[in-house]
Amino acid sequence: MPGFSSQFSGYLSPNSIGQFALYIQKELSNEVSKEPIFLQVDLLLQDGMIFIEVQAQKSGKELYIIENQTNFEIEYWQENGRPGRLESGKTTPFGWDLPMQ
Amino acid sequence: MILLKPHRSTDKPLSVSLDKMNATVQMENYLVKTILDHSTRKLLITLPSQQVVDKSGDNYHTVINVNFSKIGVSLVQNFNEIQSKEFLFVTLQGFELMLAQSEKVKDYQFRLKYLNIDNNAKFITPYPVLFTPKNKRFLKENERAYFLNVLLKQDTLAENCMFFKNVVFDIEPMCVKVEASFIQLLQDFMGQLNSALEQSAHLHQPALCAQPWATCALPAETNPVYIDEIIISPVNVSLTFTSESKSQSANKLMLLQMILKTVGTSVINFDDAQIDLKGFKLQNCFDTP
Repeated sequence: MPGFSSQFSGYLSPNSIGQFALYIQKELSNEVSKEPIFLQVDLLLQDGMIFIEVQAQKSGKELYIIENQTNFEIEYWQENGRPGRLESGKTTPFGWDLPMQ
Repeated sequence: MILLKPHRSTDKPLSVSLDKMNATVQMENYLVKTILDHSTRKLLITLPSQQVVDKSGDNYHTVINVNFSKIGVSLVQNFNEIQSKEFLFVTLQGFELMLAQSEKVKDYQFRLKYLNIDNNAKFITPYPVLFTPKNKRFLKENERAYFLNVLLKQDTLAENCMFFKNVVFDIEPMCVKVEASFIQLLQDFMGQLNSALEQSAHLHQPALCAQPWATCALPAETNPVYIDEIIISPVNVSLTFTSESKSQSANKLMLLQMILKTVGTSVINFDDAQIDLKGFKLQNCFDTP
């Protein structure tokens, strides 16, 4: 996608019908920092055809959310995925790095 | 599967599935629950003290809640004499006692939001606060956080034994600052209290009977106790202790000094000594009293 990092997201298999959130990183050429983007991916079977529908996840309609109500910071990650950190009392959306794993 | 663990913890990460709704995984110092909030799958990471009696799972026919927003307890020494004085003031905030009973289970829960003990024994003291939680701000800002949480879940269908499904004890880090003279004062107070109780018991004692059966105590009724799961969270205490000069309290503190000599320490003044007791989780505990 234009303006996005050159890295690909994790692979997805069109045969796995369903819905999931996908994590990718937006990276502008003149910026060092990366902005996380969560995409909602729907794999739909309609009239013998498989549709792959991709849309930006809307705020308030996230598929997965992690909420840290403890008094310490939490580290979380998908196996072989990028690590994330969540501060005490904070909430973050979650998306798979490798959705087919 | 999502892997998670507290930041900088060396523990093995916990593996949680986002597909199993309403599943709870209990770790030593936190618990993880997956819930469905509208169309969002939420992974909730909370402290064990935020675990509450789940009223939705069982059909409770009796629920008793006793809540006090704030209680102050003052301990007064020499109350029969002219120079009576308060030496301890205990502040309890967010005191909650809960009993919920269904056909199958009986749940008991005691929670305390905040506990503070002031040392009023002396007008000038280096430690005016004897006992207080460390994370006051966290307890104040987080509505669901409690300083102390004790949860007992008893299965009432079990016969001839006390069967507890869960026993959870969780306490937040605390700070204790004690002066040696205060321990002596506490001993004196306990002595006075015991003598007062003995006097009271003596007043209500019936006339002694000559028959030996009259004074023979019945054996206590015993029931074996079975606990499916005990979870004790880690306990962190920051302890400060100071002794006074020998001339002041050499005789009074004989016992304490003897203990310290036994454990081989020559230093009896210390500041913010960190005492960490590791939490544990035990399953299938059985005991016969």
